[in-house]
Amino acid sequence: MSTSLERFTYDDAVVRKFVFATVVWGIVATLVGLWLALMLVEPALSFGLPQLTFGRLRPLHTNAAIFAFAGNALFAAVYYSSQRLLKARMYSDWLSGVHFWGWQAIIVAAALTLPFGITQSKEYAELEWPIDVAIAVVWVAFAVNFFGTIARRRERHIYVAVWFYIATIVTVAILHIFNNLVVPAGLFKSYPIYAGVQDAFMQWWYGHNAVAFFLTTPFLGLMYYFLPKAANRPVFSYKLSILHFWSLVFLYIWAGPHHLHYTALPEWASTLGMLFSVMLWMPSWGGMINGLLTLRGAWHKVAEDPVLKFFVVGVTFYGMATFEGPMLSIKSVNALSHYTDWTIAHVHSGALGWNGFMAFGMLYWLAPRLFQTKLWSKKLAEVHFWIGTLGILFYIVAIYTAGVTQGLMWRAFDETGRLSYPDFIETVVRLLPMYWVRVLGGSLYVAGVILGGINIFMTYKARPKTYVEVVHEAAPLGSYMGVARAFELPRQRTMADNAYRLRYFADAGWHRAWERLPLKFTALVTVAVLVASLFEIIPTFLIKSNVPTITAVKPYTPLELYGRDIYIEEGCYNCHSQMVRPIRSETERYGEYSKPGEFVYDRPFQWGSRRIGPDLARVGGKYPHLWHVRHMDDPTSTTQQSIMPRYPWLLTDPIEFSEIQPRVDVMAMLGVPYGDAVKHAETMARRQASQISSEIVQQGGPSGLEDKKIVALTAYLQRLGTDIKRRESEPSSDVRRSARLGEGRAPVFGGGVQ
Amino acid sequence: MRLSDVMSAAGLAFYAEVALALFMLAFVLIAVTVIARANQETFERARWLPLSNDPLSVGEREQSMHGDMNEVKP
Repeated sequence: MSTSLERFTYDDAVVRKFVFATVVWGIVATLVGLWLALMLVEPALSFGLPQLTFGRLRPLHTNAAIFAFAGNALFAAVYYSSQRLLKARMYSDWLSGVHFWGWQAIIVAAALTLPFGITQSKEYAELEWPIDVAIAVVWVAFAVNFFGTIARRRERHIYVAVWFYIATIVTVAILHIFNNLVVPAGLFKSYPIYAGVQDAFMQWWYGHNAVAFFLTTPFLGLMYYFLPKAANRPVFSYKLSILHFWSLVFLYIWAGPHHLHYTALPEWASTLGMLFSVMLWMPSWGGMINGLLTLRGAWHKVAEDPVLKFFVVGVTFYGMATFEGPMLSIKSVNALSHYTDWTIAHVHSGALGWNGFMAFGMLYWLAPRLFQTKLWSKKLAEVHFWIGTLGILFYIVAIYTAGVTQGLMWRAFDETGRLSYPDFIETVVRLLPMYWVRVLGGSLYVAGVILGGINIFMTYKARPKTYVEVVHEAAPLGSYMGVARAFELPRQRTMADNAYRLRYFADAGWHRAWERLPLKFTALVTVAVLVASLFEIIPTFLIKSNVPTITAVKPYTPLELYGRDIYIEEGCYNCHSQMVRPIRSETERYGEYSKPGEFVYDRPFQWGSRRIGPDLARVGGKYPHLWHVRHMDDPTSTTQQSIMPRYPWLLTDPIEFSEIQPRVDVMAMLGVPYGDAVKHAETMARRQASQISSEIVQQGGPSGLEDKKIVALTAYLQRLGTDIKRRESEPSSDVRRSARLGEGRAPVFGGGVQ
Repeated sequence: MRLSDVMSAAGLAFYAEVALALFMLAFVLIAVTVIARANQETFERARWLPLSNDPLSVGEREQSMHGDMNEVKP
């Protein structure tokens, strides 16, 4: 049998594009992050503009860091390493182009929509449904291109880095689809099909696994390819890398509920999430040790080579973050850390240290190869490394300190059994010096990223006029496999042919042909991810006792629903939670702990994940309407030291009453029992707005607010947490209001879970 | 009767333990596969894959020729 060699080239043009995009978006993401850090100490930096508030810009920062910077870095890694590991050019240059330009268009769309308050409000899944559809399309193009390349490969064994890429592609697709199942209520507005507890569960199933399969597995693939390349040594233990891979795939997908400890999530789900999170520690450290031990015998190179420096610190931060993650998932630790800056420090040690440094290590290794020249300045890369490392340390040490301080102050009681710091603002002001240190650390890190960008750009400038395209040779996979091409199934049905058929199957030709496709890993990864997900999701959705019914809980009125959407647009959830945990310090501070049944009409849920400001779950009725008007106009008028930005436009921007009816219609379609109210949403909203507006005037506030957004937001805030205070026999305020306003027919609100 | 009624009556208190056992079993199978002698040759070859097929960059070529990696002066 002949084994003729095939000649082929690699598509490095698309890798160069992804490298540039990584640098550009890296600068943007870190600059926006720095701006946000500054706004937390100087809130006036929002300049009274809605597009520049912390609540609207924070999702832009997180999306830019995750999907733009890290995303483009991982695509550069995938496109460069996969072609070489599989000995095949990408399946389709056209699909590579669709992937690159489509992804950049999605990032631009995110940058254009998030500052304008167009958001689903789910962390790392904020983008509205048209962009979600585009993400799905581009991801499919990526998947087809990637799996097509695997199918055409000339290397029989699929190296472990490619396994990590397969896990990324499959799992991100599943996560993206199921967390973004929404019903549109317009081009830029939608409501999720899940509500309350179930929505929270789906979000953190997604959110945690977005970290796992977008920021971890592809970067591990990067590590398993680029670290051996840079060190010029094979990976320390290939067996350990396989165990690392499968352990992560089996364990990661379960861990999401650890983001919801002590919330209204069922206890069993929370415990399951904790257990699997703790188990994750071992494989993660196995991977870290595997990475570091790959440098056995090459440590002297680390002192000389900035690429290896970035990789060593990156892998070390992987180890730190994956030790801390399981620790934070332990309930007693989480009780202290959750909602505090501790989580922010944890995230940034992973994002800046692991993702950032692995990405820049790769970029510095790639730049001379892709641009076929020397790196412009090795010294500048060294400077980048050192100021970046210092920047991370300043950042995380300050914010760890802030987080622990915050958590301890929230739960501190004095000798009389009362909260030591009952006024939330005391716990905010105490953190401001640490926030300034974060600004310093962030500035150093941003400076490093900019220096890196300059270095890469200058290397590009020194490129040759035309790139040399290296032609490679390798035997086709079929000939390498031998028997697969040696047999063809006969069409006749004679005895001899049947014997031939038996021989064909006995020689496992079918299996080798099947093995040529990446079905094996893809199927196993998909099964592992789906089984784990379904084990958690099905009981959460289908066992009624997980979300006990509270008859007193009623749907939001049309105006409250619109006000809730303003709360979402302004990104209030980025600073305020709506979840009182069953912990004494919280019930003392905020009131009765939150129940699962209170959230059955919350689409999307607004539990939040941090408290830069106080929890709002029980804020309804705590203050008069006028307090909210003054507070939103200028927070320092009600809380002198507040770091909340001003929202003066809420007092002048009109309520779009015509948008209310379609939103109520969608909620009704999703099963919210609006009854007759579904026919009179606008009228009801106008009447409630008029009533609140007149009450504001009675309290000494300004007149003429009956058609302004502040009234809708006030209506929503005043409703929060009030339902369970009402006796079940007592009619809802909505019914009373409607009756009083002469609606004629009160809206029929069914109680409880449907 | 709805699916949620069936699920609610199923009594799935042991659910987490079943999941844990299933995944532990899968992990043991993978560990056995990894340790199996029959696969050692494949793994050893796979370990070297990243180093087997990439052309040297200009800088590396020069380094291998001159034993030094100088920077291009800006």
